Amino acid sequence: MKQNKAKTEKTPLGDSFKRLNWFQKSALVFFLIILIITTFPIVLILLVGLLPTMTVMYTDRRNYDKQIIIGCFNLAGVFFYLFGVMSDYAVRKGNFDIVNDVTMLIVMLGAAALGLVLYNELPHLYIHISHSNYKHRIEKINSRLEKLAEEWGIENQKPEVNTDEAKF
Amino acid sequence: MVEEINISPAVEALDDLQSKNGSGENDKFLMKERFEIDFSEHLTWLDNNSAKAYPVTDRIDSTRRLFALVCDNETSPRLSILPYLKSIDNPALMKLIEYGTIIYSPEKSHNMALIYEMPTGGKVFEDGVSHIDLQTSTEKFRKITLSLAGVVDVFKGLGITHRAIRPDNLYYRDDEKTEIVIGDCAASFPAYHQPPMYETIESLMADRQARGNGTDKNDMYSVGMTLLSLVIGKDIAKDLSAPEILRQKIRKGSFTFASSLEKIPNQYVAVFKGMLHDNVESRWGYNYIFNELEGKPNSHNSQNHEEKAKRALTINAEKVYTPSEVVYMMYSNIDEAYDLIVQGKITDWIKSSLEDEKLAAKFDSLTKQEQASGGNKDLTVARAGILLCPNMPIRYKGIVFFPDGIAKAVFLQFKHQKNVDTFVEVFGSDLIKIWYQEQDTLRSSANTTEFKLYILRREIGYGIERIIYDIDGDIPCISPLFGQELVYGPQQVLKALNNAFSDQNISKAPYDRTIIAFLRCRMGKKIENILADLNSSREELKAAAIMHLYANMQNKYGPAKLTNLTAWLGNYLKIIIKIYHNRKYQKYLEKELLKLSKNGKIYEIVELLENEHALEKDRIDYANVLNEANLLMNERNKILSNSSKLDDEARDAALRFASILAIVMMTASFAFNLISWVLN
Repeated sequence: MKQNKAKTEKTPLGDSFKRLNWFQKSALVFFLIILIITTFPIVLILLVGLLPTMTVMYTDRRNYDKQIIIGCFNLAGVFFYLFGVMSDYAVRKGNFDIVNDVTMLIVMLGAAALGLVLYNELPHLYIHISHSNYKHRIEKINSRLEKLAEEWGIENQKPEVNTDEAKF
Repeated sequence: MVEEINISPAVEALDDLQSKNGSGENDKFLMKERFEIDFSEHLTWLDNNSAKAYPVTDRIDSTRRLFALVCDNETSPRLSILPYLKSIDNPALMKLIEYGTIIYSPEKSHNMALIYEMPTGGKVFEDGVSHIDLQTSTEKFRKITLSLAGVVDVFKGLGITHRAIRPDNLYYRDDEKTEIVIGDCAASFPAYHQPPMYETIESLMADRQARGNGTDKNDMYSVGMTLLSLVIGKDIAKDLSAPEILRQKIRKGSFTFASSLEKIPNQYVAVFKGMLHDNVESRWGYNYIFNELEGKPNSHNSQNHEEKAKRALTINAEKVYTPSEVVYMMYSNIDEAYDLIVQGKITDWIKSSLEDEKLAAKFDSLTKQEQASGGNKDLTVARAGILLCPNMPIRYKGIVFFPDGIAKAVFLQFKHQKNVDTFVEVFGSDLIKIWYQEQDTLRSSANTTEFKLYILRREIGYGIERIIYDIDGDIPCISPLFGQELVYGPQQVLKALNNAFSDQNISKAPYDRTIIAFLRCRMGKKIENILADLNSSREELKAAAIMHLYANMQNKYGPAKLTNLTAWLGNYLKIIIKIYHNRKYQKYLEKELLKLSKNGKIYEIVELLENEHALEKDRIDYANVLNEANLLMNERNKILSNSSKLDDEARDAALRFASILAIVMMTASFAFNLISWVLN
C-alpha cells in the first residue's frame, strides 16, 4: 500500500523546476545563493542539525513513519538552537563556531536518536502488551466457557486453529 | 364388556387379607369381605375345567353351602360371560354367586375364583356310570331333556354359549337327587375340556384351544350326546381316540355312529336325531325338542346326514363323498389336496357330483390363480377348505382353528413361549376374512380387515398382540413384567406392575409391547396419541408418554399409592430430566424425583417433570447461554487465528502513537522556543 502510494506520488518541486527555462533556473539558483549567504548561520545549523533527518529521507524514502518520527524529534531539538541563533544573529553572522558547540549538537542529534529509538522499540513494546492482553482475554473466555459447560452441558469446542502455531 | 367387570375390589380385599393374615391363616382367603375360601380342604369331586374346588363360608349367611372353583392360570376363564352367568337363575344351571381375583396360597399365585352353590347331591356320573333310569321313564327323560335344553336356550337368549356340557359336568342340586344341574362353563376356554364324543365334527376338527365360543347349536349337540349317555347310563365312546371318533362321525354321521355304539330306545330316536344332526342348520333347537317331547308336530324333518355326492373323489386312496369328508381328507393330505386343486379335479368333482355351479366357479378361479402363480400349498388348501365347507375350521400349517378361537391359541403359544410365526402368517393372509365372507349367519368383528395392517406394522401397540386382545376380551395380559400377577383389565395393570416390581426389573422399561397392545384394546382410541409418542425414536418422548398414561390410569383406576411402581418410574424417567439443560436444575429434579418416588403418586412426578414455567425458563436461558458461548468461541477463534494480523495492528498503533508524540514534541519545542525568543 505504502509502496503504491510512493510510486504514484511525484516530487512537485522537481517537476516545477524541470518546467522552468534556463533563465528562470539561473535566476532561482542565484536567488538561493544570495539567500544562503545572507542567512548563513541558520542554513548551517539546519544543514548540520537536520543531518539525521536528511539521511533517513535519503535512505528510507518511502518509510514515512520513520521520517516523521525522526524528523519531528530532530526538529524539536533543532528549534532550541535555531531560535538561539536567531536571537544573536548579528553577533554570530559569518561565524562557524556554532558547529563547535557540542551541547547543541548532542541536543539536536540526540533528539533524532530518541526518535529512532522510539521508532524501533515502541512497536515491540506494543506487541508485547497486546500479547499479554489477548492471553488474558483467552483465559477469561476459556474460564467462562468451562463454567457454561459445567452449568449447561454445552460442549466447549476446541479452537479451530492449530494451537502450536498460535502465539498465545 | 370386560371393562364392566369390577375385579378391583377383590384385588384390594386380597391385599387387606394378605396384610391381616398371620402365618397360620394362609390357608384361607376372604373374597369381597364376605366369602371365605378354605384352601386346606380340596373338594376333588368338584374339580372342573382344570379349576380346583374348595369350600367357601359365607360370612353373612353361613347356612349357604358354597364352593369356589379356583381357575388354573394355564388357560383363562371366560370373563365376558361371567356377569351373565351371575345373573342367570335357572334350576338346571349351577348358580354362580360371585367371582373375583384371589391370592391362591397353595400355588402362591393370583387366580380367578368362581363361587358357586354347592350341588349337594353329588355328581350324576360316578366313575363314568349314571344310575338314572331314563330308558323306561319317559317323563323323567322329558323333564331332564327340557331342563338341559332350556339352559342352552337361556344362554342363546343372552348371546352366549356354555360349551362344557358333558356327563362329568352334571350334578344333583339337592340331597334327594331330584334335580340335575349343569356345572361350570367359565373356568377355562370354551370346549377346551370337552371329550371328543360330545363335540360336533367341526369343533372336533379344530385344535381344542381354538374351538371358539361357537353357537347354541354346539351346545345343543353336547346336550344330545350327554342325554344319550344318561339314557345309556354310561359315558359313551370313552375308550375311543379323538381321531377315530372324528373319522367315524364324518363317515357315518354323529347319530348313526352313536347308535352303532349303543342301542338307543326307539321312543327317543327322533329327539336324538334332531339334536345330533351334523348339519348345523338342521340341528334342533329348544322349540323343536319341546314340540317333539310334547307330542306337537314339527314343521321340519330333515335328513340325518349330509347329502352324498353321486360320484366319489379319491384322496389318499380313500373314496370320499361329502364336502366335509373331502375337507377332512384334504386337511390330512395337503400335498395331494394341492395337486387335486391345481389339476382342477376337485372343480370337476363339484361340477359333476355336487352340481353346484357357483362353488365350481369359485374353485375354478382358485385353480386358475394357483396355476398362474403357484405358491403356498397350505394357504391354497385352506382357501379350498373354506370354500368347500364354510362351517369347518380353518387349517393352516398344522394349526386348525375357528377365527373366534385363534386368540386363545396364540395366548397359549405365548404362555408356553412357543413360536407364533404360523399365526402371524394367518393374520397376514386373508384366510379369516374369506372365512367370514363364506358364513351365512356369522359376522366378523369390524377389525378383521385390519389384521393384515396390524401385522405389517412393527411398531409398539400393533402386531399379533394387538390382534389377540382385539379379538378376545377374555384373555388376560400376559406380559412377563407382571410375574405371577393376573391382569384382566386396565384396572389391574398398575397394581400388577407395582406388585411384580423387583430389583431385577429396575433396568427395564415399565412397559412392553404386550401391555401397550392390551391397553390400546381395552382403553380404546383415547390412548392413540400415546402410541404415536411410544413409537418415536426419542427416548424422552417415550418416557413422557408412559408417565402420562400411567398417571391418568392411576387417577382413573387407582390405587392411590404405588410405591414400587413410582420407584421404577423414577429410575426410568430420569431420561426426561435430560430435556432440561441446566445441570443444577437437573440435580435438583433428581433429588426431588427420588423423594416423590417414595410417595407412590405418579401425578406428582408428572407435575415435577413437566413444569411448563420451569421448562420455558430453561429453554430461554439455554438459548441465551448458547448465544453467549458462540460469541465467546468466535472471539477466541478470532484471536487465535489472526495473531499475525493483530501484531501488525499493534505495530501500526505503536507507530501512530510515536508519530503523534513526535509531532507533539516538535510543536511543543517550537512553541517553547518561539515564546522564549519573543520574550528575549
